[in-house]
Amino acid sequence: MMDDLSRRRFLSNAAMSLLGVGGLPLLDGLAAAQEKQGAPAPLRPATAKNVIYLFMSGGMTHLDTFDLKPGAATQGPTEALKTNADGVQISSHLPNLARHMDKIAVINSLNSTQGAHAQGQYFMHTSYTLRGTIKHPTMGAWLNLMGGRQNPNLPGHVAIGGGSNGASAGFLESKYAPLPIGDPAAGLQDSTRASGVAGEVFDRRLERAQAMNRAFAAEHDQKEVRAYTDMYDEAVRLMNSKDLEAFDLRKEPDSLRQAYGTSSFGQGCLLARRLIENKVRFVEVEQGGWDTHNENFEAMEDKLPVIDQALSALLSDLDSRGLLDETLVVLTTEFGRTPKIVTERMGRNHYPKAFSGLMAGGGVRGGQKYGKTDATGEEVIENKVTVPDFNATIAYALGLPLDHIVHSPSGRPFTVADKGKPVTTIF
Amino acid sequence: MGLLVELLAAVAVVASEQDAKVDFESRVLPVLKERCFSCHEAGKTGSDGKPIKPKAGLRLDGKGWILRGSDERAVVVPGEPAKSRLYSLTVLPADHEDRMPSKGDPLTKAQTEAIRLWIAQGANFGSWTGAAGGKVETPAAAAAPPPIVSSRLTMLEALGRGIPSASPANLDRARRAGATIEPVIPGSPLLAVSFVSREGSIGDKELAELAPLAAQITRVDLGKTKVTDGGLASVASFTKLTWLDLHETSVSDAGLAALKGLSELRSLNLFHTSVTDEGLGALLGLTSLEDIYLRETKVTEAGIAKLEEKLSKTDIHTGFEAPKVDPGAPTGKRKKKK
Repeated sequence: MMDDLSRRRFLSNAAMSLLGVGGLPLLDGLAAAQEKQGAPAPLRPATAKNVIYLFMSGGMTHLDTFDLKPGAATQGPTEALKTNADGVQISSHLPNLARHMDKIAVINSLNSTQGAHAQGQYFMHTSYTLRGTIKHPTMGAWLNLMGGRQNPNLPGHVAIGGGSNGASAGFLESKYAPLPIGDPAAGLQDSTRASGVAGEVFDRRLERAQAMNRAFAAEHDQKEVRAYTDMYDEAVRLMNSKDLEAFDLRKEPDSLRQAYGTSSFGQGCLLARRLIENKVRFVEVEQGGWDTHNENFEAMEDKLPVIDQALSALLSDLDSRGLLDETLVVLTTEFGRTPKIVTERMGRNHYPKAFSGLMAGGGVRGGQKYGKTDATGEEVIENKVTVPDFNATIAYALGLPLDHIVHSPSGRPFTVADKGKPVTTIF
Repeated sequence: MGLLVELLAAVAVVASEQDAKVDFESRVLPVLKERCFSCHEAGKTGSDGKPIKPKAGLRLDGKGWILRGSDERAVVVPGEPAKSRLYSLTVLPADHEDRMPSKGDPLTKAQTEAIRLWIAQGANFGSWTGAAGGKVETPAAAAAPPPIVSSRLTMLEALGRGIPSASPANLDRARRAGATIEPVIPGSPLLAVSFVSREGSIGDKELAELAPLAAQITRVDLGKTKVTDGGLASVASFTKLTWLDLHETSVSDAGLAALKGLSELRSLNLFHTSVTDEGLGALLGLTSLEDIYLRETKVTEAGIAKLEEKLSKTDIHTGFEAPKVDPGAPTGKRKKKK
């Protein structure tokens, strides 16, 4: 049952993520920018419509996951496993995923300039480096800005199980910000009508509130004021929508929930599939705990089976429903970890110079590796992919114009993926 | 009263714009030289021997360079001072992060007015040309990557050639029935149709409203709608149909017969329908079919084998493959180290 406080909390959350009403003064983002620039960005042909973005927060070690160096001193105890794709080896802790490598393109030549967590996560999400004077939009915000929302009743951008990584609408209106879901199993909380309030009573109250607001809104016809009125409309639409079920994992058979794994990440991946199915365009699922300065190899025994199960289930589930074709699944992290093992604590430290990420579905040709590091995993020696390049590749798959300039409220020009060059050969 | 004053001031400005012609060389160039050139001139060499590039790639020491603008965009839009950053950044508040010049005092009112008027009057340089070089180009256009080449997009382009665009009246009619309609790729006359978040109220009647678009429709998503076997007769007339999604509908074997003639069909999604081996018989002639989705149907191994035999190039997506998990597999919680 929803008490008054929680209803308010929902409305205020909804206001922030649906309509651009936030604690901060509203920034005059896209609307104004587009007014100035005339027509909206012309879209390009796309191979993907949606994105499931799996973020390995803390810095995922590349040597122990997708860039194996069997025999090298830097490899440590991690063992390599052959996959169903020729020449692609991954960690032996990923046996299920090994049978889905024909769907996946592994990128082994990622390179970042940011070696601290907050800065690295921000850079990976936005393609711009963290600075004090401006906040940049995350990829999900860019997609919703330029590609538009597909389902009018649901937010176009959802972030599950994280939210600490700096993913935001940046200088765009906050309606492009991700709607945060803390616990995937709990779904979207505070989103149903209080059971003690009958439908017509609720409508009457809402009508009364709006009648009172109308006079104020008429007198103060500003975007911030309108946004609050619109927010009520949207919140009620969402509350009454059957689409709200998209957030409810109880609608899934138990066997399927088990198949994804009972971990928060596994359930998050299942929720991501449900949301994509309901035309939410960008869903991020975060898995934390990759900051393995200590006991890196022991941590792999815990973390990798979770990824193995959840990602394998997700790929198979998407594929057999006909969703993988148009859904780009991305797995990435803020940086890799030092190939050199810190022997006294069997750990690896931060390493932005070379690391790995994955892309699958959405037009990406599976079963391939792109880019290469040297024999120890320390240097990129082939086809370096910078963070803007990586994001440009995502944008390219989605048909977003990489050259379309959007101005911040202060008049500065920005583009999706900050002039990164897309890796076109993986499609 | 205040408004009247503003109006009068505006009139005065307009009048002066018509009257005194601002000469670039005598009134604007000296300001640029004094306050702008130190950062926005040809590349120089610093005291440490390293080259100093013009800030933001903007040079103001030549006509061509001024018209080229910065690396990001033009800074002068003739006739439009408000859209010209050469002017608009000089009149920002003194403490604004983007105010130009970024160092020292703001320009004086007389100086900014000279720039504004000069732009408003068309940004005429007179006989001055300054440093040679620079040209107007859109930096954006240079950055555009090649279009995605995929067999699907190439196929859709070829399929769309010579197809007339749908009439607005026909589009309206389909939209009124609840359809979301988009070009299948930007600029193509071929259409993709879906019923996002209205699935529950879409049935055979609404589907029939798409009939006037039969020549253009190439994708239809009817997933979770109330369409029935009978309704699929309308789909049979979509001769350019490449992609049909019927997941979680009541469609059964009887309906599949209507799809027999869809020779362009590439993808057919029958996830969670009651089709059986028998119904698949109607599809055996669809040799263009690349993907068929049969998870949660009544199709058996025998039916799949037959399909494989007749449609050797089709990917048959039969089911969900549950990951194999050790009974003692971790749940994502890190074991505490003792």
